[in-house]
Amino acid sequence: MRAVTVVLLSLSLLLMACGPDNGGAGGDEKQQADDLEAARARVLDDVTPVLSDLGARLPAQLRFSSGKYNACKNDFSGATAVTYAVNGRLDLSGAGPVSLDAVRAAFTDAGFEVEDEDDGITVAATKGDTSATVSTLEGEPALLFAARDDGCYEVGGDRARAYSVDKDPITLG
Amino acid sequence: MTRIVIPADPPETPRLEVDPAGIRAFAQDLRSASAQLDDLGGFVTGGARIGDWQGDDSSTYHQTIGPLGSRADAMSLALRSVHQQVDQHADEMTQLLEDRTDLETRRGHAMQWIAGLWERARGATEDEAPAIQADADACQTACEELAAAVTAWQKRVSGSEQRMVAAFGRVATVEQVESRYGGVADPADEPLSRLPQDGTPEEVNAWWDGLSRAEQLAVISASPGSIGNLDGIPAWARSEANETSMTRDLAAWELLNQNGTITDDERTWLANARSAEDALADTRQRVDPVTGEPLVSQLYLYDPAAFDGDGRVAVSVGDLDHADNVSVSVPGLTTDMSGIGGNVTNVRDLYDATRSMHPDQTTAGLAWIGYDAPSGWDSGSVAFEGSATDGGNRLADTLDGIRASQDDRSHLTVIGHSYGSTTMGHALSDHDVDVDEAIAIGSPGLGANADDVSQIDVPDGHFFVGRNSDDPVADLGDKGWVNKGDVFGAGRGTDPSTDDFGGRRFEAEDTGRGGPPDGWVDLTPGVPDTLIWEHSNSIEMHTSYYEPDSESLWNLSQIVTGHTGDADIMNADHVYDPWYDGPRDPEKDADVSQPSTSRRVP
Repeated sequence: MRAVTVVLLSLSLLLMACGPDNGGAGGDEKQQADDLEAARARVLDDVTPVLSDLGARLPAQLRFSSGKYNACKNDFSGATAVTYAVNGRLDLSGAGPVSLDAVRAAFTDAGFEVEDEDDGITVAATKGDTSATVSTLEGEPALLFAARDDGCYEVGGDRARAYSVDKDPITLG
Repeated sequence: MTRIVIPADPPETPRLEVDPAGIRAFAQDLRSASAQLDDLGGFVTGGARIGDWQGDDSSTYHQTIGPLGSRADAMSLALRSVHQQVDQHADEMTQLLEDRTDLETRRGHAMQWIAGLWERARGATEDEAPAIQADADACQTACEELAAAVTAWQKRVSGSEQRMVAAFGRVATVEQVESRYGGVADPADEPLSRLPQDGTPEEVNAWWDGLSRAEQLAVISASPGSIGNLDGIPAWARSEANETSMTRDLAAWELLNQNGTITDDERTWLANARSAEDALADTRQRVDPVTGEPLVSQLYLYDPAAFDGDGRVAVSVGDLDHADNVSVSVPGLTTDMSGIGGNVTNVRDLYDATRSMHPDQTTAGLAWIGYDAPSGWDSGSVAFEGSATDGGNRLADTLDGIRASQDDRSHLTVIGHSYGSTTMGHALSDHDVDVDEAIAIGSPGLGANADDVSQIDVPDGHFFVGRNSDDPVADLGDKGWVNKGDVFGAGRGTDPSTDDFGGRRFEAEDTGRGGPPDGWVDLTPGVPDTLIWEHSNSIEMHTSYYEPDSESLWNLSQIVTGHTGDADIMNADHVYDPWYDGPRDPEKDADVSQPSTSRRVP
């Protein structure tokens, strides 16, 4: 029985290798690129108001933000599908402890649904396809944030290289 | 009427428009040029001399090339001196930029303080005035200290610039170079004469530590090939040496490529060198998820011509010399030097996860292609055991080298993926190595000498296995009653995820398991799908262990950072093989989670 499985597996792999590329034809490629760009814009649009609000409430300044395209499907040559993610850091003006209530309020006011789980260091929230977290940083008056799109966008092995780092995608007024 | 004196706004720290990475790249170019000229000097006094050629023409020839050699040596030393100043300038500018950020942060706080004072002063009563004035006086002191710090900062900027000008001014003409460096012995020669031949990593490290800083830099510039891949040399020095070699190689082969005189071998080596350069550059343009500082990336191994052109390379993400946690990732199938970029991406994802999950710890990961890895579906051949054995020797040397070259002992983890786990198995079973944790992911077996956990050199309870239940490669190992490894010749010993092996299995399922693959054509209608789709997304299930927000990467990050208690890991049940049926994997029916690898772990 196992021999049969292995033979079928080999056959299926062969068929996959001969089949159309995951990236698809040119039209599909453009659609996939557009979808990914839309996901990027959505994540940034969702999370920027939260950070602006926090910057004013705490107060805090944005030290940095960094976007990237995380693999969500791989083959031996690397990513074949990616999703957009952004992370960064807020430096607090004061040295006192951070109240996570302010973080929850900032998420809620921006239309996020805050998760109930409370570990005392992180607030997690979602808005549509955007998942975000804000965590305290032990020993430093700062917050780390991260947000990502829950989708997974085919880019094909060759085009994955075009999706690299996304420097400083967030600016706060 | 009460008068309160409130300080004026403190001075702004001037903008510093400078690119330390660009300065460092320039320094690297200078060093590579120095190495090329040193090579030329060596060639003129060695290979270019024709001993059995007599007569007037010979005399003329040798009289002509003699000065060329000494001039090349002098120019090499001159460039080396400038390189050191430029490199130092890059360090200074990096520090000055960081200091400017701190000064501006202090200024922001002072401005808020002053604004608060104005707010309080407005409408203050006579009774409140003394307290406000005292606060204003404290603010005034802070502003004066800040102003002094800004002035000192500006002096450091101009001092650094003046040292650069002076360094270039000393070697601005050929006459100056020959006057200063002509006939001067290369400061690298004497230290290199004391380099222990075939020494252990500890002996090599003792030699290196015995050199002055100037001697170390001289050795890196004059003879990068002698220390770039030498175990026991610290990672920073290996990287400087290897980048010097890489830059020199790229310049030479690019020129041949443009001239159309490049050979096929050289074209392959050029592609390998470009892959290493791209992997370094891609990492260095990214930032640490906690500090926002550019990532450190070190070229730990560089040999683009090794293994008949497959190449040998290792690139780090993070500082291998100083990180609290160091991991070495060993890839398997289809791995050669041209694939270093994808492997560095995996290690970078691991780096980001470890830093985000445990920001209080520093980490560094090494993507290690230091052996002649299999590069096709013939990889399961019996010959692979020999490749894994040789690779195991090399990996053990690398692990020994990391240990020997660190001033402070790091928490060291070795991770073997696919057939890389077989190589890892040989390193752990054929050698005495000193690792804190070992992890096999997607493993077809740890090789002929590792039937169970007692046969590998890992502390008790610190050998871990990640196995996606849909991973076809992980299914190749021997599970007991049905010795598939031998039957199909592709397994490499006991499946380490089995209960008999005795490792600690963690959850490593993928949300994409179980469905039909892209482009799937069902040629066997009527045959139960579960049979055909047992490994339906085969490739993805074998290559997803480092994916962000996966069970596997979350567990890898916990182990790499030393969080290995029972409650720290998402434990998984072992594969078992009852006598009355085939092997069973309890994880096949387990729920798949997506733990965030960008979220701090309590």
